Amino acid sequence: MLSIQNLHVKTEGKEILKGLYLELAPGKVHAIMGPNGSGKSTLSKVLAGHPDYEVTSGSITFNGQDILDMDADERARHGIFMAFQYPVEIPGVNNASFLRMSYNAKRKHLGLPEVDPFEFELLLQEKAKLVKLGEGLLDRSVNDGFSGGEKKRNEILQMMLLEPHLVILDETDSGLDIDALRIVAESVNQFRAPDRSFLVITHYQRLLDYIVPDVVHVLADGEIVKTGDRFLVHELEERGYDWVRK
Amino acid sequence: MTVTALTTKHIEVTSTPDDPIYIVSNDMSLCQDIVIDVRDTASAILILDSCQCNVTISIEDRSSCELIVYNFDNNSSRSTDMAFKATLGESSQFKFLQASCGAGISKSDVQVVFTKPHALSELRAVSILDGNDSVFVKTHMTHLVGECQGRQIVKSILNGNSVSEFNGGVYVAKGADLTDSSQSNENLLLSDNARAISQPQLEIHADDIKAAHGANVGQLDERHVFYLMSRGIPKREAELFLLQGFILELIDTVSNDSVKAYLKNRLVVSGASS
Amino acid sequence: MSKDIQAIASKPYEYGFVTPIESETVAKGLNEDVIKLISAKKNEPQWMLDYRLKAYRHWLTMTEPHWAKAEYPAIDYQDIHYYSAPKQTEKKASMDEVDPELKRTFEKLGIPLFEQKKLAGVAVDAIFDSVSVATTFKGKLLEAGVVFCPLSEAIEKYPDLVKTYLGSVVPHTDNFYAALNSAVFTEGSFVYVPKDTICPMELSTYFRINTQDTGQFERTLIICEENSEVSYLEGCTAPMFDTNQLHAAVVELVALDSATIKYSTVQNWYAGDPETGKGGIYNFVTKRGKCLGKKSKISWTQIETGSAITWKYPSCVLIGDESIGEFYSVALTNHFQKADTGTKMIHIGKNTKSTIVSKGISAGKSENTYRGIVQMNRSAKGAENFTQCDSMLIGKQAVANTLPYIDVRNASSTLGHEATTVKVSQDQLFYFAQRGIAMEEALQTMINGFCADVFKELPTEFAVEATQLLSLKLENSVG
Repeated sequence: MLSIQNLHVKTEGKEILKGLYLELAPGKVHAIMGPNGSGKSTLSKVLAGHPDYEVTSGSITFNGQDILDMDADERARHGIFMAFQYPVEIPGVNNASFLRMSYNAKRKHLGLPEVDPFEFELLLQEKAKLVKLGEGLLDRSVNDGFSGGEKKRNEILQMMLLEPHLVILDETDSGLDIDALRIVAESVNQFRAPDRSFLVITHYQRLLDYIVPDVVHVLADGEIVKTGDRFLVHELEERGYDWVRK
Repeated sequence: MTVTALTTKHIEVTSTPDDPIYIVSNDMSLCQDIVIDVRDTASAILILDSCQCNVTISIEDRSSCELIVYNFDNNSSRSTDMAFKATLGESSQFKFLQASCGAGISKSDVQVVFTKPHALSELRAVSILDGNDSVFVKTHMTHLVGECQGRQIVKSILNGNSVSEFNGGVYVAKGADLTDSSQSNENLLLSDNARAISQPQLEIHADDIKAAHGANVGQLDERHVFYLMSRGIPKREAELFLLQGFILELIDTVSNDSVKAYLKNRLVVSGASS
Repeated sequence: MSKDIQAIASKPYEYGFVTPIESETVAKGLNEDVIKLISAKKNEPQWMLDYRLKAYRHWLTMTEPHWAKAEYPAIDYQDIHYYSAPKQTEKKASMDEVDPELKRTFEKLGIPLFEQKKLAGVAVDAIFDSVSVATTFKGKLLEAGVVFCPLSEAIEKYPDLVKTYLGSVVPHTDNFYAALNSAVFTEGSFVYVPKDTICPMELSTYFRINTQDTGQFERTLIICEENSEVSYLEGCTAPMFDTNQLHAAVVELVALDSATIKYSTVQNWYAGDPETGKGGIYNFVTKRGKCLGKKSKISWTQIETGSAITWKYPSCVLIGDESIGEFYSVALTNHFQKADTGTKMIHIGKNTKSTIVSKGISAGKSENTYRGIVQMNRSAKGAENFTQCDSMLIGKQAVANTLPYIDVRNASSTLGHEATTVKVSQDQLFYFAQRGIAMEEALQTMINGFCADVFKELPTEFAVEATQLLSLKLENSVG
């Protein structure tokens, strides 16, 4: 599904990723943990194609295609989805309309006919119930005045609508209480599929109690320094990150 | 209480004084030039009582100054003309409050220039006017650099044939990102012969900023009056109470309690007689 | 996407073409002889010529104004053609006889001149340089009692109406450009809706400048009698010349008791070269509506996207008690454009109401200024105003100014004014991108959201056009 080879990434003149390697097979859930400043957020933004980050060398292959030449919206239509750590607010743009627009962008890419607002409304209500996002929030402007938990659930709602192949959860658990966390985790778990992979980026172990990973990587100082199975999470919890750094 | 006669032209504050510094005038017909320097992280409160002056204030890095100017003379034949110019250093603060009641013809021009980031300035003016009073408040904030916060709030209650004019400018230079600016002008007109003129002006040359302004002219909210009356308060008193609330809200920001109490008292007393 | 968003092929101004047609153009220059010539070509009666000359003589005493936030070099008024007309000077009886070149031009511009091709039944008066070339649906409208014709025809056929109302809202002494217009106006639309009549279809005038160095001085007069209603739309384009052209129009609206006039403008004059800023139209226009009657209503909606300089303040004078004035505006400036626009709401009658919603979008190196006056006279007891002025800044070089002037002179009026600034951020565009939505569509959506309150006031057919026009103008502007 995803293959990252010797990735070097720079931003604002500083090199953040210094030779990252990662192989992610379809249907698998990989967790990326690491101390602050290790480059976790950079990795997710680079995969999504954020313009502020410059790839100085290395490659990223997604389903056999080199995506480095693709703009962010193209990558999204090809099936890469990122749930933002801090979802931005867009006042004046209706949430339901925005969701329909991105849904239709995907459909168009797949050669399918676009859906009209009424058809979409039914689909939206159905999915919104699963993440417990009330109708009021669908009528508001995108993330405008949403609480932290509501913003994260709006992200998950979008994931469910767009049915991506690669889901990157960028510190989705930050700022969430237990109930919100459970809703998010449940939705993600129900969304697992043989042709879908997850990259769960997190600082704490908590989320990984609910979304159990197949593989765990530790990212420190711009490189992956250790890879293991889910028990590595508990070891890190006990011994901290210094143990793993060179 | 430190009293400084207006013959002193230069006031330097290098350490935080215990009490506010009062500046009084010996001769109101004379316009004095005053230079105030606040530095070395000192914090000063200065009070100008019924003066005519041109004040130049320089507040250095991490220092702060609160300047309170008031005029409760109720002498409508008086004419006052004041100008203030403040230059702010990094992480400094300048708070200005002008309170006047029955001030005759009064004109004040307050200018603030942000030259370094993280500074904060609040300009507040409160007037109760009656008879032929006329108050002209001109404020201007220039953001040469970003990350500074500016607030301008001017409120008036107008009765009789009085006139209130507010001209407030905000200029945000190119590159002054993360500027946070707001202006608000509120006027309550109690007489059909009174007049409120409001000109809040924004000139923005940077994009990553917050700049907003608002102006309101009207009367007391009938619903608020009725609410108080439904709790047994006679109409006249209810109106007075609400008018006071409108004005006193700005006095709450004064840091020194005794000055705050004095101002509230004078405004309530002078205002009640209008 | 790289940090400075790479250029998407910028769509050039698609109306920049020139129509190859034989025109009769009066030599450049302005003096009493030129004015007499214009008046003669239009077969005007003596009183009309007298009005023009009076205005011209007054104009000579005035000074060109330069107080707007839009610098422009002094204009050489002798270097302009004041009259140019395509050689089919005889008004044709039917569409078939209209010069095919002209027909083709208006087709290219998307303006339907043929009765068969109805744009949801909109009557069109098409003005090419200094003359009206066709007015559709005149017959049908006359059946309803509505007069819709070029002003030159109204001067001839309805002199009393013209004499009564022309110059009553914008006198020739009002300002420099109004005086100039009153002297040299060549054509414009005239609308008269009699008592108790709702105009059965939307009326539209389309202005097209074709000849280089020609000034466009149209004059429009709309009169709505008691209980009548009309909705009018004005559109305009011009070829891409590298010299500036002056468009100094005057629009007067008069609404009697309980009448409603809705005037919408979608302005897409050539804005000048996007790289150098050279050329482009100077859009210096005086538009004013008089709510003469009780409960009358005048509503201005404008989408200003073109012109090198836009300088106009569609205004309402609220004389009749309980009359209503509205101003909805989206002004977009990009590249080197400048706009100094807004409105004046003058409250004179009792219980009058005004609403102002102004959205300014500045991109590139442009400067966009809102300038407004809300004045409530002592007589305007119980007046109400609500104003919302918002500026959207795109990019680090654009400038936005908000300069309102509020003057309230009685104790029973209420006024609320608010202004905010927003920017289109990289983060927001990236969010759209990560959801598969390309930048143009993202920008279009954000602008729609920003301008929603104004778009909903436009006649439906034009709301869609307006949205597309705006996003077209903003291509390549986020960086």
